[in-house]
Amino acid sequence: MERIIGIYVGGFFNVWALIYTCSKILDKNINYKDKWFWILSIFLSLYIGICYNTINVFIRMSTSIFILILINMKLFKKTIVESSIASFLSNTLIFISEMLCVLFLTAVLGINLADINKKYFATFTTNLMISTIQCFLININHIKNIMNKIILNSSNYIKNNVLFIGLLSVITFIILVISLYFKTTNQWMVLFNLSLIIIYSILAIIIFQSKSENIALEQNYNLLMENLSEYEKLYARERMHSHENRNELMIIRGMVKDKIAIEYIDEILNFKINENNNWLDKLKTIPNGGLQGLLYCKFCIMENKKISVDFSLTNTSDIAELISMNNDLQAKICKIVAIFIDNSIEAVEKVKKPSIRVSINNCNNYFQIKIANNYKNKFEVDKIYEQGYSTKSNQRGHGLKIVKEIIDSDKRISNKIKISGCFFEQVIIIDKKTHQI
Amino acid sequence: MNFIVCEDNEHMRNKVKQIIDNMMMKNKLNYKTHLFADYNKSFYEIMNEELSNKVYILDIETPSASGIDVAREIRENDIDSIIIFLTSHNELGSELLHDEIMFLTFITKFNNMEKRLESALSKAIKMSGVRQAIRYENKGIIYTIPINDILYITTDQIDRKTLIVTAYNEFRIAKTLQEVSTMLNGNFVQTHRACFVNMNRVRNINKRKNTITFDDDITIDLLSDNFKRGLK
Repeated sequence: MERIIGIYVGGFFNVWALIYTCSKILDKNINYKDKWFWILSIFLSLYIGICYNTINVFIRMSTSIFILILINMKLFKKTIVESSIASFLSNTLIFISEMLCVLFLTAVLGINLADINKKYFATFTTNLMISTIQCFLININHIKNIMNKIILNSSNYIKNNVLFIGLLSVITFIILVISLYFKTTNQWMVLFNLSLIIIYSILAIIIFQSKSENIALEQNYNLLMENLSEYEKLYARERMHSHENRNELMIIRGMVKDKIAIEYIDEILNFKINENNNWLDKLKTIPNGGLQGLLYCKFCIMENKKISVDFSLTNTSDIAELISMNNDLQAKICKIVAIFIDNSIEAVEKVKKPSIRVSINNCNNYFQIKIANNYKNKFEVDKIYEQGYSTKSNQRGHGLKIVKEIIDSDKRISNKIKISGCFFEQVIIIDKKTHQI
Repeated sequence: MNFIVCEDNEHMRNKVKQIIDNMMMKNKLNYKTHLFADYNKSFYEIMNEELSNKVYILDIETPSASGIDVAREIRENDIDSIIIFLTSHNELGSELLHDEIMFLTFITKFNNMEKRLESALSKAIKMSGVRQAIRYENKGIIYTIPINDILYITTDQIDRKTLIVTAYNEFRIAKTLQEVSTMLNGNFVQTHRACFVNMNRVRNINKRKNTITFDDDITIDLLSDNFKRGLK
């Protein structure tokens, strides 16, 4: 009976303290009316109790942490990354609580640790003390704020693979310390070292692969900008020639009396008229530099995909201000616009009536380029810049990562996200004063 | 009410003022008319001032700026004021995106302007003070949710936030349910301790099963005995 109370009931308090700590770290509440809380916490307590003297300490620790991660994902509806970090921090805190408890018992009360192990009722008391200390620690604002910040920045850790390397290093350290303490057999250490080598190799491959994908995407966009600039120049030249040819044909038509020749010339002229489509007329007021060509291409792609496109360009009399922007700034803006439009095109794929709006506005102190699209699937807007969070199938967040890098490196450009009803809107703001038009 | 008129033509400007005066004499509301010949510094000062029940009557074509761009700037910070455009053309074409600026109407200056402006002002008076959208900011993202898009509002027990549910997405706002309820209009009715429902979007209420079905086929069971007596 003492054993059951000491290990299982005491263990339950430890598990509750772990889940409570995780809830504080993740800024959530425990819903005690949720049956899953009781089922999972009792399960974990029983598991730890059964494994206490039967299973190897490494396996017990790692499986307990894994189960806690699953519990966090189920109860608090968090991602695997946030759940893992919370579980790890919670276990760190319980480790600190244990040390404080042992310190208190041995240094202050003068109790022998070996006696505690023999008497399960004392085990129950120490478990209770550890849980209490842990709950007290997590309610200290300073500690709670630090842990909340770690969770909030978790996406950055993923971005730089800091999370994996950090966790791996800590786990390695813990296992080495424990193997020394428990004098683990050689075959376990060989197995552990082999696993480490494999994990680090996979990590290195993932990091290099991710970096090369980023570089490739950036190069693609750079090439696109160069090609579009050349295309605009070529098109302007061709349009000029085409316009002159039309005029010449009209003159010839007036001179010729042969009916067949006149009909043939009419046929050619009609073909030329159809070639000058809507977008070319609307976009011609945008100066050359890539933006005109880029928008034309993208609008044609959207029309082919049967996406409804709304474009507005206001205050055209001041559009000349755009011309005086330097090439570097124009190139950056074009890159951002291209990425946002690509994302919008992908986002509206599953919408019944897909619609994308693009507007260029000239305001008092700034230019504004807005790209808005409607959407179908529910998504968490505040997570879109987190690497790993995506509503798309591949190239997860690389484009937005490039946008973030451009904006972070150039004070002239800033970005706002807006949700207006069923439209998701990316707003690019170009400060006029900073780039001194 | 505050009528803010920007029109560069003096004759037109006086005409609009007269129409406003004639309109407002018919009802007992206090009002003030602010007249501007251009989108100048004084105009922007009034625009940024916190005045009640603003109705903007904006000329689209002025020498210094476009009324449409000004309307966009108004909407950056003010989603409740009413905007009426005056234009010399019969149509605005694709330059104006209604949902983006949420304007009431546009009126051509030379085609039955008086009657159309009177009708627009009459509508504006009815609409003034009635919220059109909820706007809030969360983690740097600005949310503008049209009131009529909202199906219901409830609390997320785990997240400790209020959940605004529309047909196309769910939005979490870090305010209490009572705080959010003050941002709503009279179409919302409380059906449960933790739920306000937009009656304009309700298709069916089943008082026996305590369920509410909306016009897009979403059904919820947030109908309590305490609140269902008040429902029609």
